[in-house]
Amino acid sequence: MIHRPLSGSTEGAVDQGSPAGVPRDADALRLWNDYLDDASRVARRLPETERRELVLELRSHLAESFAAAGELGDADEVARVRAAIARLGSPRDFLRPILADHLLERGANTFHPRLLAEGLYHNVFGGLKAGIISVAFAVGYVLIIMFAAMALLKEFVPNHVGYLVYPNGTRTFGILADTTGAREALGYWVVPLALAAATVLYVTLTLGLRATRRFRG
Amino acid sequence: MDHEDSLVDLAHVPPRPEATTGRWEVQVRKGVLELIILLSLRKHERYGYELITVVTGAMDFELTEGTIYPLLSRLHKDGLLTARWVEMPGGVPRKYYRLSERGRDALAAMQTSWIRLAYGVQRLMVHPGATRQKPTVRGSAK
Repeated sequence: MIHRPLSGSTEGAVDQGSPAGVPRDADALRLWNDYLDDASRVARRLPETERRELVLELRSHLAESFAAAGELGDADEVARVRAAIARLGSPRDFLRPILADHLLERGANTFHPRLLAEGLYHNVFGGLKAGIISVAFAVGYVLIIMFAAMALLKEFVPNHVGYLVYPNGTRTFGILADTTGAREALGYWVVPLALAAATVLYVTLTLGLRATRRFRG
Repeated sequence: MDHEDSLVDLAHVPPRPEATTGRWEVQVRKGVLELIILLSLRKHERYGYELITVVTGAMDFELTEGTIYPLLSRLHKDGLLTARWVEMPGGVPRKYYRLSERGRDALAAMQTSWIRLAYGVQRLMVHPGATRQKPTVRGSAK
């Protein structure tokens, strides 16, 4: 599947274009190498051949981009490397799909929890984020429904709803079927408290949801 | 976090196109990019940077250039593209991609569904009340 790098010949009807090289300026070269080191670090979980080939391909891209800017007459090598890097983007962002694919595949094959977690992490930031956030919000909204139910049910089953203190010291806030021996400590204060909790949670969650939607890329 | 030790200065990165074009357009572009890449490789063998130039030139696309590489990698893994490295006079080799037989088949199928989709949307734009006409041309007869 993976083609051995650098083994190709120049045969074939390929338009050679102008030669693309590496910058000569020391600062420009440092920027260039730092970027590729960074990409290599981001891709460290990929199989060695795949990682090396990917970095070589990004290096090739930088060289072409750098040369193209040179043809337009820009002599400042540092500026050209900077521009090439800016247009290519941060490897941490654009390599995510590859990393997620690879880690999830390996994790699923080996039951390795760390690989799965890392894969999910990359997926979260690569698109699944919305899904996972939605689940979190769904759980929050279920809590709201529970608070509202407490406020409503207090009237009908007062001894099963509220802040229940058991003789052994256990304390529970909520709705319980078995309250044998427990003492309900709040009385009808449960109603405004539960309603206030529901309102605060609702407003907070909704504001949070709004914020995540605004910043979703 | 090892974000901080990245020495690459990205402070001058221009605002990402998402900020201005809206989420819908971003999603559409993402979906179409694959088709555009396959189309650009229909007649020519091309390397990554060249592909980006062709895509952005032809489509008036703003693109974080790096996003093309995961896509190329996946198309290659799926066998739709073949790749080879070619040494260059400047010393930095290029990785050329070419459409495989399987890629040609996939492209043909994608073109058909694209035309269907575009035709349907177009018809709705022109006749908002239009319902689906009796099928005249079907890809596969039952």
